[in-house]
Amino acid sequence: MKKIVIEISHPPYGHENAYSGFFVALGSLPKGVDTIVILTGEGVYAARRGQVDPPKNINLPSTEEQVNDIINLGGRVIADKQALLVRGIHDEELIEGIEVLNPNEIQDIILNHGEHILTF
Amino acid sequence: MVEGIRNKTLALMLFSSPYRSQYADHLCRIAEKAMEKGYNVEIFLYGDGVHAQMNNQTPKTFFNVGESLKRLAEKGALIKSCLICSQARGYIEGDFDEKLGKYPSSKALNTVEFCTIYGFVDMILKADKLLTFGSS
Amino acid sequence: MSALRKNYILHNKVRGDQKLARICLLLMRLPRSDEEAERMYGMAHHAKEQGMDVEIYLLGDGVFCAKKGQKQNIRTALEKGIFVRASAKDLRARAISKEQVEPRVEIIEDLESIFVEDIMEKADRVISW
Repeated sequence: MKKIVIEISHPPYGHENAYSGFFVALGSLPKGVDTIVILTGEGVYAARRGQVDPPKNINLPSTEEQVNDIINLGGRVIADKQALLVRGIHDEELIEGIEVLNPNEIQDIILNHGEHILTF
Repeated sequence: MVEGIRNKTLALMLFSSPYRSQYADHLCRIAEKAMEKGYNVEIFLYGDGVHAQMNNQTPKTFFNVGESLKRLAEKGALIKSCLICSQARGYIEGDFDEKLGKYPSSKALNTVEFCTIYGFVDMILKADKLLTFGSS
Repeated sequence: MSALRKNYILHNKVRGDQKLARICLLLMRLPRSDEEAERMYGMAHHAKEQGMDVEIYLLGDGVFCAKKGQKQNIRTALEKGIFVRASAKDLRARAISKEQVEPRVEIIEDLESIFVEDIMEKADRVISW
């Protein structure tokens, strides 16, 4: 089985990066690709739950829904513990199912799982 | 061309428009080197990267990304472009044309093949190595 | 220990038999922040600590990473035995002379060509930023 890692380091909405990264995961999972999404740097803002109706409020698709769909399809979404910490984002703010790992653990995953690594 | 490496494929994803940054130039130069060495090259234009498919690019002093993509396609590189990104940016003029077997676009290089995200995933599945450009 | 953490450890043990030998990092820009520098170079250091050969390729604005005398540069990487190659053309265009580049950085005229050969024939992993 092909394995990919998608690294997202931009916050949602202001730039297309987070949306586009999640979108690749939503395309790869149904095709049987073992997919891991890593939220790091500013990308950890996409890990926060409670985003209220982005389509209605700012005319953009909800990245929270994308994260939920990825997890429901069996993908893993991992947030960088260090990046969360420096931004004052606490575990209880995170979308359910998101894993929190240390930078070293994330690097291990990138090395071991990243047959292909996409950076967004 | 070197024997024995013909079947290896390098996939390259472009996420930024040309000229604003050098990413498209880097992608094209790496793609050209890979083809010279006999590797298969496949390119996916994603997000603002689809602007690289614009016809008749005539930069006066910059590296011509459009010409480079045209050359690559002539040598056999496969260039796919994200359909919904292209629709959003005005490249697609109507529904899929069964007769032509493609989406109508007078603005995009005619060698570009429009596809959904699954087209990109197929590219990833086939590739020996994948590089992404222009996400910053 | 949380279930997720257990899952992580198991996951990595299962994959532990797969021996990775070489990783290439292509940097086409400077890190935007200290945090990002830590992430980019941290990846290289981690791979090196795992016993892998690590090669950093500097292309475009990435060549600024090799300039001496700045806070965040690739010196620590070089000291750890990570190899760094920079594009001669990009260095020249950005007014960085050979003397201004960190010692041990290999300056290469046709970097793209060497890079393609490396990732297609030698490297197990490649990341581009």
